[in-house]
Parts: sequence; structure tokens; C-alpha cells
Amino acid sequence: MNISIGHLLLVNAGIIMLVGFYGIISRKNLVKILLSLNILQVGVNLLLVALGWVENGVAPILKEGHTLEALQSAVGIHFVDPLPQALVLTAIVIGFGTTAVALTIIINYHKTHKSLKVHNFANEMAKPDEEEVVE
Amino acid sequence: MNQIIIFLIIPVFAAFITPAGSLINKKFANILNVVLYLFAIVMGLLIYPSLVGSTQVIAMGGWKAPFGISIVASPLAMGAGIAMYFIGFLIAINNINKERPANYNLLFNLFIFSSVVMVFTGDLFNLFVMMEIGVITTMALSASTNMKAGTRGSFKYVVNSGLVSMLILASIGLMYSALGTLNIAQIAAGPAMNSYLAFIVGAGILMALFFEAELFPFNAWVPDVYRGSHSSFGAALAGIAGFAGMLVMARVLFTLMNPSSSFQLARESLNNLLFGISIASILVGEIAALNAKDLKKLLAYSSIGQMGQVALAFAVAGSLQLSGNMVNTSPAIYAGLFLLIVHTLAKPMLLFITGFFIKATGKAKWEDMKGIGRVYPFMAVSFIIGGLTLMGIPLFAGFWGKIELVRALFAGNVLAKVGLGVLLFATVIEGVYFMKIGHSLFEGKTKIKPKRNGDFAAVLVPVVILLVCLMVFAFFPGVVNTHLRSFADSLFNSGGYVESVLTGVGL
Repeated sequence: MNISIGHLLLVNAGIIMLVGFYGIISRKNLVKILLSLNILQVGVNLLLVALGWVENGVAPILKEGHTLEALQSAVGIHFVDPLPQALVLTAIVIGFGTTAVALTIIINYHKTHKSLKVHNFANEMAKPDEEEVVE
Repeated sequence: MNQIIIFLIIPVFAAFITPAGSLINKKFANILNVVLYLFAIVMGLLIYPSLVGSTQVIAMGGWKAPFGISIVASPLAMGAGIAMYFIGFLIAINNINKERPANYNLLFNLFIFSSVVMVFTGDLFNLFVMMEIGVITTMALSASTNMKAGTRGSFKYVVNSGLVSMLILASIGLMYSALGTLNIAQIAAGPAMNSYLAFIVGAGILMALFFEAELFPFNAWVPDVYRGSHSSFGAALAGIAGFAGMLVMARVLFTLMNPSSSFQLARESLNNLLFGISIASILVGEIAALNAKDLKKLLAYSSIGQMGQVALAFAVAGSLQLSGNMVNTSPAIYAGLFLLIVHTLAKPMLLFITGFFIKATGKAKWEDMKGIGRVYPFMAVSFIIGGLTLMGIPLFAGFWGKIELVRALFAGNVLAKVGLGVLLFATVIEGVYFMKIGHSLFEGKTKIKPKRNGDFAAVLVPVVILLVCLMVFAFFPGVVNTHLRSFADSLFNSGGYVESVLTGVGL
């Protein structure tokens, strides 16, 4: 069985996603949870890149010598699909934005909770913050 | 520029000029929002008649579907847009005396923009981008009060949204590799995907919408975000984001995943998934609401339960459609839409009143608000009417939606019968907690002195408007029935949607 770079990318994407997901459910520190989310995101981005992979593909830009026959023939020029790459680029920008806002929220969390640990049901019961009221 | 595009970008315009205007006057954004949302409502009402019977499709950048992003201005989308701007307008009135930072108003406008465009878009990746804009704004707005609960809720929101964003993004990637398109109409008319792949992709997309519509299991953020943010923002979450999420879910379920779409081999499994999620949401939401002491938290849990009821209506409509019972499918979708619009009107009203009571008493628990109904009887009675509406008691608006839902559930399969039992159980629980609160508001004495100032008027005006709307829905349901039934038919008739989007493209 031939293993192409596309297959390797897919396997890699799966492993990275699992690492990210494990981090989200196992870590107690907010920064580490956010990092795990970012790792998961890298995995998904890699998945999209892998799905758009074309063996011996070239950038989809028409140049001299790119005749219609060559483009249509099975042994001719193989353009890669630019859409998954455009999707990944957009997803990276969105991921940057959400991470930036999430980091400011973590700073806010540290200011209000004096900790970066996950606030769980047990410490909610031990230290309720019912005195806080907002209309 | 196309008038529909102007209708969509009104909040973006407001967001751009808010920071500069706020340098001149701190309340600039408050007044601007009221004026612009009123303008958007009027504009929407003027455009709406031209869309009835002839959906308008706008190819963004001149790229026709399925090659570019298309905005599908159907009567349903326009009606939803008007409803969302209407709630935005009432929230703007509620905020008119409050000094919010310019950034708060900027983010709030972007939040409304993302919700409105979600309903209009005909492209799945565009839907993902709009959901992400909504996510970023919600994160920031829910942490804006700098309170423990708000920040905690906001971080929960970060984790939940991060997970579902990745789910929908991976699903979009898989779907594109299988079908070569992300256009909703083309997928709705497309060839069948492998059943396993269709289930994975479909479940990924639905999970993201469960999160958006505050449904189980991605609802851990809901109570903390409601409790830790301003009541007006809670009203926006229930009345705008949840509303948009549910409508997109209906579009996805009945158009994207119609029984002859690319999802045809997994449609039944996906429908069963929706049944399970809706029943779980009703149970989790209503039981948690019964035990909640904090009034805003209680309303948050109640939202989860209410959204579960709407999802149940869509699930039974889907199962009736699959079993070939076409006569009852459209009424089941109608029931879901009716319950959704009633929730969109009643929940913001309850949250406005709650915010006012919290400000008057300085307490967040409903048990600490005893006797406030004697000081502000109109507000307390409105609260009780809102509760009875959500319960679906006869003579109140919610009844028309619930009775249609019960009828549809009777006609449905075994899962629908389970859903019927859960729905009736949930109604009883809703009755217990809303009546307990209603009784408590008039019980005992309070030392609070009534104030009839500007703050009171800023709450009174939106409450009166919403109350009048709910009364009209209750006593003259015919006013909205025709529109809601045509919306239900348009959702059910996926062929019409496909035709209007892909006509002239030659695919």
C-alpha cells in the first residue's frame, strides 16, 4: 500500500486533535486548557490542509504552457484546490482573535478569583459568591 | 448598494461610528442604537412584502452560487431579521440611561450583526465565520461586568465554543472533500454521502447549533453567563442569539438535510439525535430551574428547557417528514416557530423585569424580592404573565404553540410519545417555579420605596411593548399565523429554496 504525504497529514491531524482534546478534559489550569484548544485547532487546520492535498499539485495560477488539453488530461497539470487553504487561512485568523479575547478573559478570571484553577462544583459550594449582584 | 445588504450592515455601521461618537457624548451610542434599530425595523417592514413569493438571492462579490457566498433573503430570513432588530431596539431603550463603555456598544452591535447574517447566509463557511464573530462578542460582553460569575461563564463559553467551532470546521472540511461544495442549496440537492460520513458531518454541524441555541450538552456556560452579565445582555442571548441559532437549525434540518439531500442516508439517525438532545435539554433545564434560587440563573435554565421544546417540535417534524406523514409535518414546524417567537418575546421581558427588581432590592435571589409586587404591581403582574405564557396556559400566547406541538407529538413515533410525556412533565415543573415566584413577589412587606424616574421608564417602555405583543399573540393569533405557516411551508419545501438559489447557474 502506498502511503502518500496526504495520508501522513491526515494521521498527524488526528493525533494532534486527540492530544488537544485530552488536554482540554484533563488540565485544571485555564492557560493550559486554552493551549489545548489551540492544539486542537492546529489539528483541525491540518485536517483541512490534508483534505485539499493533491499529489504533485501546483498552485492554481494559469501560466504560459497551461493549455486546456493539459489541464483536462489525467497526466497533465494538477492544480491544487485553493478553497481549503483559504478556509484554513480564515480559521487561523479567527483562532487568533478568539485566543486573544480568551487570554484577556483569563486575566480577568485571575483578578476576580485570585487563581487560574478551574472553578469546580466543590469550591462553588465551599465559597459561594452570592454577594455579587448585577442588574 | 442592494437594500438588503444595507439592512444587514446597519449594526456594523453603528459599531464603526460608536467609538468616535462616544468621545463627543458618553450616551451617543445609546441614542444611536435606538435610532438605527428603529430605522432597520422600518426598512425591513418595507422590504418584506417584496420578498413574499419571490425570494431574493444576492451573489456576494458578483460570484453566483455555488461559487461564491450567497445571501438568501427569504420572507423567513427577513421576518427573523426584523424580530432580532426589534429585540435589539427594546434592549437599546432599556439601556438608554446606562453608561456603558463605547466598546460594550460596539461589541453588542457586532453581536446583533452576526446573529442576523447567520439566518440570511446560504453558505456553510460563512455561517461558521458569523458564529465565530458571535462567539468573540459574547465572550467579551459576558465578562464585561468584571464579576466572578460572568468571567467564569465567559471562560466556560470559551471552552464550549472552541470545541464546537472545531467540530463544525472539521465537518465543513470533510463535507467539502466529499461533495466539493459548501453551498446549502447545492448540498440540499446533491448526491448522497456515505451514511457514516453523513452522520459524522451532520452531527458536527448540529452540535454547533445546539451550542448556539443553548441546548444540552454544550450549555454549561448558560447559567453563569446570564447571572454574571447585565440583564439586557441576557435578553439578547435569549431573544437574539438563541433565536438565530434555532432558525439556522431549522434551515439545516429541513433544507440542508432534507430526505433527498446529501445527508439522506443518515437523516433518521440525525433526527433521533435531535430527539435525544431535545428531551435531555427539557429535563435538565426545567429540573435545574426548579432548584435555582438566583432569579437570572433560573431564567437561564428555563431558556434551556424552552429551547429544548422548540427542538422537540423540529425533531417530531423531521420524523413525520421521514415517515411520509406530510399533513402533520408543516404544523409541527409551525409549532416550533410559534414557541420560538413567543420565547423570543417573553424571555427578554422577564429579564428586563428581573434586572429592574435586582436593582431595586440589591438582591439576586427571588426569595429576597418578597413584597416587591406591592410596590411595582405592573412589573410583577407582567412577570407572572410572562411565566404563564412560557408555560403555555390557555388564554396566553404560548398555548397556541404548545397545543400544536402536542397534536404533532400524538401523530409521531415512539420517541415523540416519550417527548410528549417529558413536555407535559416540564409544563408542570414550569408552573411550580413560576407560580412560586409570582406568589413570593406579592407575599410579605418590603421597605423599598417606589421610584418613578427615568430608569423606571426605560424598563417600563420595553415591558409594555412586549406585553402588548404577547397579548396580541394570545388573543389574535391570526395576526401572525399566516406568516408563521408560510415560513413553516417554506422550510418544509426545500425544493423551492434550491430552485431560487441555483436558478440560472446551470447546475
